[in-house]
Amino acid sequence: MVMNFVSRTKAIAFKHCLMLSACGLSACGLFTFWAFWAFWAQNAWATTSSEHQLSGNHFLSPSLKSMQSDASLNPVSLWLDQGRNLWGSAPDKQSCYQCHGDVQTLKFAAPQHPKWSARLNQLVNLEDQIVTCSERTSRPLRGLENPDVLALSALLHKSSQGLPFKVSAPPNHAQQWQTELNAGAQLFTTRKGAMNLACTHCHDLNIGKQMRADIVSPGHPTGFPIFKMSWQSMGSIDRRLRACFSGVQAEVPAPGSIELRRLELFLKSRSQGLPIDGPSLRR
Amino acid sequence: MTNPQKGNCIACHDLPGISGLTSNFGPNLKGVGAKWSRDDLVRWVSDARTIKPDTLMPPYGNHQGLVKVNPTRKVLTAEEIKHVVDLLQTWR
Repeated sequence: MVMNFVSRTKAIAFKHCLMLSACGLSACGLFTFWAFWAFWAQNAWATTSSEHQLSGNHFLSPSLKSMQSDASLNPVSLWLDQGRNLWGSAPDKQSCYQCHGDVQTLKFAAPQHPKWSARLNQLVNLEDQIVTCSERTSRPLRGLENPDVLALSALLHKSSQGLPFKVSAPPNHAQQWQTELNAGAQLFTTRKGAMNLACTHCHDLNIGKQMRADIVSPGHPTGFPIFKMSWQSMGSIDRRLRACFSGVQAEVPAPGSIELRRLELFLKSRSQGLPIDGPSLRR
Repeated sequence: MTNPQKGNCIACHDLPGISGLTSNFGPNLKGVGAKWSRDDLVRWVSDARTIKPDTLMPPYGNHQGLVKVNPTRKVLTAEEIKHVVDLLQTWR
């Protein structure tokens, strides 16, 4: 695509040169014009291209950016405190620490989910895994939007900040994983709902456009879980994706449904290489 | 045009006479009354696919061919589309 664009740019610039030659302009002037045009066009492309690689945090309003950067004002801090309490420390008998040790030992967990579970024969995301893990303790957590599940998810994502997503096919289940990824891509590009829009129409084709107080982002899921001001609560990627289905007036998948896991896998595959910068604030 | 449960045109378009938080996802509606005939405006609002098959404009008066729609009723009634078009025609 880059090569196509550059070739197209040069071809158009060359056409301009010929037109101007016909008008009798000097060779020097032509070269200056061509160089300027090619430089402008390539920079215009670079701007568009770099927009596709921006985290949702880039599109926050100045006031939310300011709130996010101040731990004493950022409500996410409360969830991280709760996460640390739940994670526990050495003396706690029923803490995460008993099995996993320091939370930093699991810093590669968030970037690698959703993963293929051979036991369940389906994709599981980080919140699914937290719920499953808690069922082995005397304090099982119920529900993906359970505040304790989200607090632990926030803590695990915090420990992964700066690491890139690295979702990959498991060697023994590569075909199933690829099928799920393809299904996620299909969901991303299929029009749905009364608004008859696909994810790609906003998050690929209209990045940076203003929709009242919202600016359309590329939809990279680097900032989850999120404290959304309109929810006045922390929420998972599962909840945010369901909100998008609702936004286009489509049937909303059930929490934890395979459709949402497929879409999450595709989004994280699409964001491969971008650093995790969650948990974060959203409007 | 500003009701989130209805057309909510303001979510995508800049509407003449409304300042503050505006939108540029879709085109500015200033001048649409001069640019398009009444019949065309009805088609744009009701089902823009009949004018531009790959449009991003939702088909407010027709849910034929749509996937996984919820709720399954049309977003706007014929009467509501008429009111919207009446207003669009004044934006010249």
